[in-house]
Amino acid sequence: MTGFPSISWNLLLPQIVLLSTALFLLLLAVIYRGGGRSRGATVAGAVFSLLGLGVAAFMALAQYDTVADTFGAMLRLDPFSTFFTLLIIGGAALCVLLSVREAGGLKAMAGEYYALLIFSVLGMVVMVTAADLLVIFIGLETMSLAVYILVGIGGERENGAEGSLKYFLIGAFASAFLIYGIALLLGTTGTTRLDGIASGLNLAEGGSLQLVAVALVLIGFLFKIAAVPFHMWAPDAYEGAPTPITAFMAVAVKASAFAVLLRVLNVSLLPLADYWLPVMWTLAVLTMTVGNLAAIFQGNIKRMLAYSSIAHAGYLLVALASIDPAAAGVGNDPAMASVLFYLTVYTLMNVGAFGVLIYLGGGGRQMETLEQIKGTGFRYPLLGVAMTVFMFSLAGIPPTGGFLGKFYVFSAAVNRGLISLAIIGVLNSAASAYYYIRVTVQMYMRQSDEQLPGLPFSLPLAAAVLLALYGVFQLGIAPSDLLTAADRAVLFLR
Amino acid sequence: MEPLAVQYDILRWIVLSPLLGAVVISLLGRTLPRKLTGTIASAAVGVSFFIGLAAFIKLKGLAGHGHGEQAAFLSDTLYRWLAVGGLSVDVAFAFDRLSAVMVLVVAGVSALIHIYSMGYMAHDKSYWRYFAYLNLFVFFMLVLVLADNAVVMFVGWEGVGLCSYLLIGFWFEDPEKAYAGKKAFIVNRIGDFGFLLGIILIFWTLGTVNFNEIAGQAPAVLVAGGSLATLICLLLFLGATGKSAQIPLYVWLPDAMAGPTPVSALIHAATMVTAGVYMIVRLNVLYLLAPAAMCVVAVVGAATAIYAASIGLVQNDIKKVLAYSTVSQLGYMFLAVGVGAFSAGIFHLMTHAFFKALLFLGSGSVIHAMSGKQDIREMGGLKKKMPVTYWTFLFATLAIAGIPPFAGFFSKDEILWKAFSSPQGHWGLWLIGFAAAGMTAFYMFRLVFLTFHGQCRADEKTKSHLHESPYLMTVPLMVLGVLSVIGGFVGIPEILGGGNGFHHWLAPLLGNENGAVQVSAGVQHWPHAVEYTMIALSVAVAVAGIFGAWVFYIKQPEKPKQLAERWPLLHQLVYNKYYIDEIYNVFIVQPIKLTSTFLLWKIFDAGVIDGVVNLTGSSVRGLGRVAARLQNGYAQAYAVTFLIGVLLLIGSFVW
Repeated sequence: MTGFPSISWNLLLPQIVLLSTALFLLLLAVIYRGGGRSRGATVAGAVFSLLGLGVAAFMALAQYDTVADTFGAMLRLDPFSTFFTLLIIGGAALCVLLSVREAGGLKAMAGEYYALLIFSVLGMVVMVTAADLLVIFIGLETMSLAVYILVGIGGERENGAEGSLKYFLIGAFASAFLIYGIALLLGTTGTTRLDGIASGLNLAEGGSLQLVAVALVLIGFLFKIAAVPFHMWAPDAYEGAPTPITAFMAVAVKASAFAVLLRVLNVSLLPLADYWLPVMWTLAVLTMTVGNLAAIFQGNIKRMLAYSSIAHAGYLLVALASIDPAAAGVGNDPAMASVLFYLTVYTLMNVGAFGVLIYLGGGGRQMETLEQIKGTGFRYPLLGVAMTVFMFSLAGIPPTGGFLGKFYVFSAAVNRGLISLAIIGVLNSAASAYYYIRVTVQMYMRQSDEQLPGLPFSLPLAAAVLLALYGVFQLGIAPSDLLTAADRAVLFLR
Repeated sequence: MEPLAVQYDILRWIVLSPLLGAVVISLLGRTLPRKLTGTIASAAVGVSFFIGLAAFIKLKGLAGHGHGEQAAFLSDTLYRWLAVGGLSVDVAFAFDRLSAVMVLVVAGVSALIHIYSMGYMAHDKSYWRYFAYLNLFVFFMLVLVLADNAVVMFVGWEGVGLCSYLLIGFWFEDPEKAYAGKKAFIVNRIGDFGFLLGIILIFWTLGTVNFNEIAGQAPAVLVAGGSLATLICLLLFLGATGKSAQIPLYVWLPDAMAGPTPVSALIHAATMVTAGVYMIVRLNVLYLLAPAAMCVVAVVGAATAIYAASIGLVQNDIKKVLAYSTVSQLGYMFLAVGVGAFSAGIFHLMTHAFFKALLFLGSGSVIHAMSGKQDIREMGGLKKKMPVTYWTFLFATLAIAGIPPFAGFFSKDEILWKAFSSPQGHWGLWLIGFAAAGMTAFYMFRLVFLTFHGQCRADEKTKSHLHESPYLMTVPLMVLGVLSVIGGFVGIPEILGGGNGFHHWLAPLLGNENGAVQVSAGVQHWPHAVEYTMIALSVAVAVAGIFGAWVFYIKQPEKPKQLAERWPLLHQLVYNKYYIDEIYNVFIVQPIKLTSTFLLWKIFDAGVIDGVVNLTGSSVRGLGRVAARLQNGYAQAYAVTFLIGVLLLIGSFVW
């Protein structure tokens, strides 16, 4: 160790802002009497979280064009990391909007809730800017520990504790594989740096031990995106978590894990593309198919959306299976750019769908199952229309962003000659229409058994749903800005 | 010869006008008076029609100047939609000779149906919602026919499906109708999957999704008769079978009759269901490169034509008869395009839009008068009470039966002749079409005789309410009645002294006409006598069908029952539509449900895991006890699955 590495602190401003925000939120519990359970504390928590996220996003936006290494090249700032930083912060901000009312109902301190949320965002941002496997691991654990607690927060909900514990147990399991894989890579390639691994990979010498190491590292990430067969925790955790946290897991956790997967595959593991491309192919087929088939039989909408998010991870894996090793780092590979586009659309439509669910539950009547939402479409016309749009977007029907996302991913597969994979993908998406459409059928074409109560207006919820609605249409009708940004971001992935 | 694009900025308003109508009505519909809502909706579509007319006149002017500009078209580009990895898609509209026909037919018929709906839906409680959906539908339909590339067309394609779903399930309280809407939507998704893959494959091979560029590049890039061209065309055709209700995906259309009758007229007769035919004609250059796919199209079309006609023979619900008749007529159109007679397919599409819309609207008028009853066994003798409905309905029936000089005669006759004489044709295809024509005449006149002739079989209460419909409904009937009579004159074949102007109008867009593609070597020239004989035969079979219906339902009304009793099994089989719905249910729907319930959800998620856990035995049992405290705890099972996944993944890497 020769001296302290030089650090360009200004490059780390988003992370610093997030950390300060999280620490400040912890203080809220002290500032407000009654442990921060009051309504004032909840609102203050949300406001300060949004403020912190906003400032962090502003900082990230300011460094949009920066390409730099810092912290002794442990962190790497480039348009790719910035793209994901912004996507994660945006998704988290929407989830904060979803939380304002829910968090008040939880028997938890507002300080805890929002602080944990921001801590996990910090972990994610560290993950997507990391240039070293160990830093990725630290980011991943920061994110995960916070999310484990958030799933079970508010001790009254029994399946919350259950989902949380299961997620934690299996998550610890996955982390063990990840760290073991990192150790093996360090042993066989002599480094944990992402770019160093690429040059250190030597199958002739390292042999199968390196392959085992790579498999173990990938498993750590595949767990976070809930790829089959590492998906079984997801439905329980999604169903058990408070709905805003479910949305948060579905969008932000998944986005950051995909960012890391993209970076590791392209920066470190490109020499092994012949090994992992077929694996991604198989995982994509499994994940899409199991996710969709299981979703068909869910009566609980949160659980249905959990399986749906597994299926969407499958579509994204189609893109990973279509990566062109020859194009990485030289030209723009539509496969990689499609992941960025898809994740953005996916974030919006999921937040929107969960937002509508939360809004519907505001009348003091539980609204989580297909039975319970009967007849809500005409009773609450705007929510009905919004939910219909989100469902159609999830099913991939134009002119929504969901259609373009799928179109883009499947075109990428066909572009690489993976016709059968594209066929399986499109078939899957055709089948998925069945369970998405059922939500609108229930909302519009069935009568409710009882009188539906009026819903209290909620500004933050309405704002989140409207923003998501706008985004879903914007990305379906005029997506060129985002496409350009995604194309540009993946150029720096090397 | 690269087609010449002429910028024509008001083209976009053809599409935007109904969208604007839909937006205005959905925002203000609740507060506006009913009449005004209906007027706005109708006017929005009327604007589209008149702009379409202006564009048509301009296009005609362009086409007049010399030979080189024959393929000129009007175009209007809104903006660049997508530009990624070599794929660039514009939101752009093209008004060429084919889309001109489609725009005029779609907007014209839609406008009439909008006006009719103002009368028909006058007392419905969700009046404004109905018109908002209807305008939205017209918007998507016009996007579909005006799109200058396949992706924008797909947007329209999905959009019309969506609106059809909304409109079928329009009376939402009724679970049966909701089910019908869902069925239509899901069956269509199966077709759309083929269409989407076809588009992606086109992009992959040709590097473009623009129709003009496809037409220009396909002959050079794709091998004629090659497997790639065939695959693309078959995938596209799968999309067409879904949207246009052909075997095997026709099952949704008869159920779709659950929607309001004007919707059946608009979507399920005149416009949306013909989208598949339009799409194939639009991409005729590709199909000409894939003779095998064309053969499939022709055979499926012919089979659907006769199969649906046979079901139509015995149905008793007035709308069901018309629904199967639509499926059957669409079969004719596919038969036409399948044998390379693209212009004949579009010709029949147009005349069919006139007379079938009229038939549906007429049946709506009858249902309206019959206080909602749809069973023709309870009707009869309505001729005197509803003269306008009767006479227009009769004209349309003569048109669909193929009696000269009504519109359907010319188009159907051209299809039958081409099925026989075209190089891709076959006498067997002709014979099927010929037999189906006889059946069509029979079941349509059965409908006319049972509904309008003889004694009224309705109960007294219904009888007392019988009345002719209001002008808002009868005027559109009369306009369509006139079109059903004269609509065929634009395509009188040369042999009958006409110029076959319709064919020559479309010819520049059709691959085998402008010399771009020549797959059909050795075109045979038939002597005139053969053609005259064919015309005489098809008229004869129609007359025979009508005579048969007259004997069965006027002269000896007891005859049908006797026949049904003599061959009870056959009658049951046909009456129950060959039990196809049941067969689909047993062989496709249930297996999928079972597979996913038991194999994947139950066994994979719970059963298999349980088994594995039990097998691993006592070592896990301790952990199991901990897990049991977690309500339905499978945490240990999850870990086991995880471990299996880990081993498999490592295995696949190391192997």
